[in-house]
Amino acid sequence: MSFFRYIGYPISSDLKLSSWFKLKTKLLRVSLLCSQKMILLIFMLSWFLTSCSIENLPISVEPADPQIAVSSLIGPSETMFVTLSRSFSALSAEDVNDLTQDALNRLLLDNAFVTLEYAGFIDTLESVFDIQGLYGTQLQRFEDFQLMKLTVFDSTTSETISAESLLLPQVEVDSLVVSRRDTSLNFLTDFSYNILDPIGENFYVVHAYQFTDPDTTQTDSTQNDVFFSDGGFLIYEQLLTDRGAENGVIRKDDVIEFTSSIDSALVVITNVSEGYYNFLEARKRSGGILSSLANEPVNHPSNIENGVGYFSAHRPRAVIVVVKEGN
Amino acid sequence: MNKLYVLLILFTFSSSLYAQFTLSGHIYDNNDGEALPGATLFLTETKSGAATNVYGFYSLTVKESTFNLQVSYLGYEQLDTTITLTKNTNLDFYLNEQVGEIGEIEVSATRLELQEEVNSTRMSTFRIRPEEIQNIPTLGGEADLIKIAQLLPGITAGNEGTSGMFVRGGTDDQNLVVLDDAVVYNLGHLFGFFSVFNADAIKDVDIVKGGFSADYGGRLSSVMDVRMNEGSQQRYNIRGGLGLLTSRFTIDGPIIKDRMSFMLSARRTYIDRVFKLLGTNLPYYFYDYNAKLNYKISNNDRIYFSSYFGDDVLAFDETSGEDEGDEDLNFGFNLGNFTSTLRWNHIYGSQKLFSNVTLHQTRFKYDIQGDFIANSLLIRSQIQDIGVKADWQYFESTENKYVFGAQSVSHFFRPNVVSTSGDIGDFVDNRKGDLIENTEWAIYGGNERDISDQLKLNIGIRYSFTLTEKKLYSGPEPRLSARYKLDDENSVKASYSLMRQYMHRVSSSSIALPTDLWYPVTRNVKPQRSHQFALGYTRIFPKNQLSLTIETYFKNLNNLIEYREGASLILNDNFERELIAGKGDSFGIEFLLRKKYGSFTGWVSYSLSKTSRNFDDLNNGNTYPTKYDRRHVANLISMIELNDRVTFSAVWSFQSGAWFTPQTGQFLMPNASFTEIELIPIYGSRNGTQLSSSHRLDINFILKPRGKRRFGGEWHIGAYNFYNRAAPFRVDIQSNGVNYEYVQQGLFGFIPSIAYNFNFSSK
Repeated sequence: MSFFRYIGYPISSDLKLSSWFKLKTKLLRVSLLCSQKMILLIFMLSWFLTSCSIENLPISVEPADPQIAVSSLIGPSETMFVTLSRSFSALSAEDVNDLTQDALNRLLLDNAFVTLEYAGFIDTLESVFDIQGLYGTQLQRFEDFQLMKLTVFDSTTSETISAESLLLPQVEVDSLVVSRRDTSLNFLTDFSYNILDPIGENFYVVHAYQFTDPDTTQTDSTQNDVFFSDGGFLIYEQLLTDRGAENGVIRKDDVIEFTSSIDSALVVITNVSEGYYNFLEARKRSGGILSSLANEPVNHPSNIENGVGYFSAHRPRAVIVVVKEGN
Repeated sequence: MNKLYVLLILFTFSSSLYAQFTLSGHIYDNNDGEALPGATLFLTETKSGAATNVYGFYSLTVKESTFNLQVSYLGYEQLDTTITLTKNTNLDFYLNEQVGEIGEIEVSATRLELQEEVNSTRMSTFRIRPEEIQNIPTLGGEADLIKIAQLLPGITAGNEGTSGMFVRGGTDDQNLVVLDDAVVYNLGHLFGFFSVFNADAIKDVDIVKGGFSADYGGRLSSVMDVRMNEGSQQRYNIRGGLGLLTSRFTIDGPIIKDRMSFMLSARRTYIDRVFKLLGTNLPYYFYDYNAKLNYKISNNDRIYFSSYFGDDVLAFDETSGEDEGDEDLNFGFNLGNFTSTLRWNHIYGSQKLFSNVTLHQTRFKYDIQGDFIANSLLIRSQIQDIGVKADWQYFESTENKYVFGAQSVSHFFRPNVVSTSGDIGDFVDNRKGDLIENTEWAIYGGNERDISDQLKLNIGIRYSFTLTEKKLYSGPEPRLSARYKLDDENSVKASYSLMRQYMHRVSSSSIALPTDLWYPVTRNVKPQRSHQFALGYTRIFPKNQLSLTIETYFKNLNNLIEYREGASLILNDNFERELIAGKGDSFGIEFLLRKKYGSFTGWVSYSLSKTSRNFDDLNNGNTYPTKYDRRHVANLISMIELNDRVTFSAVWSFQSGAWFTPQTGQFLMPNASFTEIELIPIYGSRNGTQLSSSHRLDINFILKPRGKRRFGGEWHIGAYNFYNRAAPFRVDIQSNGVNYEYVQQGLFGFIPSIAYNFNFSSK
């Protein structure tokens, strides 16, 4: 019985205990409770202290051979843009932000011979905007679903890569509404859009940017001069298939949480090929802490022969939308 | 064909033409009245014998009316007696626990035990004894059944310290783990670092890797059959332990002496309390309870009820302070198993037919819940099984035994229930979690008989089926084991098993997460299937009390399930599109030298194996090794009684490195709008690089008081990873200050442990 008293069990007042015994019991109880905690604390501390941290072991991994990496889009004025860079060792850098200008200069290809073959034309892409690794050409003929064949020759390494893609039509947006809502979660915004879905199996990617340029006051603009802009940052990305489209319309109601109160947002909607969709999906799936720690790695599909990346003749539609006040 | 049937009938009933009597009963521990499964009975005149079944029941039908019988069980004194039969007789035997050095009679007993290993058709099977679970050192000094199983040949562990078991090239979800016949879905606490099995509550464990008998089914790779203590029929026992991470308490004893007994066991961590003392709020803990009740209605009828309940709980509760702007945040999870089993043993009038009918129920669920300001979120998934199994064992004679039975398990799945309130409902949809029901059925039968003094066969057939989405999956599962005895100390064994699996765990992770879900087969996802062939050689060395087994196997696996790269399975009701089917092979050779008797016990094991997989949609369709395809695995386990007060145990374990898919390169890639640039990783071939081999020494000293006392206490002082060597489990890219380099990370270094175990027995 006394054991229970010592560890804090309440002592009934009707017990006939002498005052001396009560005092002794109380002191014992307090000291035992203190000593129990102290013993446990010392015990655990000494355990943690005597446990050894373990040293990592080195390992040798065969690095991948550098290859030419390709990305592309059709931008304003029916211009095909292609970026060319060189893949590099996984040990070179951990984060894109760590890349120095020198490193970028080494990685971006500025002396490649780039040609685009389509509809009986063969264009040579030239370096544009004085941006290293960025090549472009204004297309002489522009028809939906025309075959585009890209060939790149790097004279430094004598490598040749090639890829093919169909020119995809631009998305027709039926409606696009961004409206701020009154909510306990700050800067929550309703985002609704309808995409006209043409016949056939289609794939889309939707981006929304928190547009921070204070001078941008255009409403429902279809200006395409927002590419290569750093006036905003990506806040929403959605990959869509046309499964679930009704009467040729894909309806999507979503919610975006911006990081500050905004007056306008940039929305970019693009019709992409299934292959490029799979590439983007792989990129999305490979993100996340849990994924990187616990899941098997995700390889990105590629349509580049002898290279990496993806050659895609897609035409993003960019819309700047004024945020409406919600109900 | 008719001739064949006549031959089969003659084969089946040929041994019943003689006048015979049956001696049957149970074999018990004389100290506490617990039944002893696997105890042996040996007739010296005929040099034949039998072993008790898992309920301690035996039945001997003999031609002789008078014979000498030796009854023995590991760790108990041998009982020699002369029996005279004039009619069918029921006779229970009570064996005394062996104390001190083994004498001449005990040497004879160990010989009988060893002899059974040569005589039996069973192969690829290992029984773990409770004292091995208690004494073998493990991580953190916590007695852990799964960690011991991982030291057996043919079983490899997953990541260091976790409860993963990969048996002969199988996956973790291909192991049937049952606790008193109820399936246990989640084997680990704390993300698998602790087993759900409380060592104090376990009576014994059988692990079967191949040569499966017909009554086992439902998984491809292994069976771990765990049985709980029944509780003493004679006296009250209290035992428990105080460890660094957990404490345990168990009490058992008679409710009605010699008729009814109980066992209650509980365990809890105090990780949360320790962190609180250290000033850190980590409100995580786990606990589990085991309970068992058994009642001997008569000599022929006995019922058992057992139950397990255990949870992992994390409960952050950050309620707002007095300052304005403080925000309430409650977050946590609660996951765990609940099993219960009701069994009825019945011995029919002839004393030759033994039956066991089991009703069992299992539930595994997890809840993840959070509250933030005026928002709340609850995610729940649950699987519940309700099943019935009826087994009959017919002991025709010492040379001829039949088993047959039927089994049905209904699975009720309710995955991905989501309930939200507040604005969070805009991001996460509410889901009621549709109930998915599925039932598996199986009927089976088998016959074990001596064809000659040398040849013994165990032939069985199981027919299993399930109906799902109006699609019937069914098929026979033949089982065959054979033993050819070269002499009293040598035998050769062979086995073949076809297994079908109608359940699989949905997990895209390379590690077992408690949130992984189980699903039945569907119209599109076919049952997994395996064929396993094994050939073995058993030799015993009675003088040295050693047994040696060498087994080689080949396993072919079909309709294996994998997941597309990057598959997102969390809250994914349409996970089927993420599944892909493939095949695999595994083959290897295993050596096991074991000493179960005396003051020096333990085993040495070595496995050489190779396991591969092939999926059209993975690794460009090329065959690749599985992550835990460890080519060489060697284990040395020793327990030495240095004197009557000190026992020393040690484990040295070596294993080839696991395989992984390294990132070998990367490239720059703008997004689809050319507004942001990202680094895209390039990986080598799947599991194309092998981690370094690892080896580790764990030690443990057990200090106990001199002599046998009613109250006994013993200290366990040990160390995990004694020489502090990393067992690599993943590869990372790290900066060394100048460059980046690949490094292999280990989890646990040298970890000392100390625990105090106690026991008390009433008079």
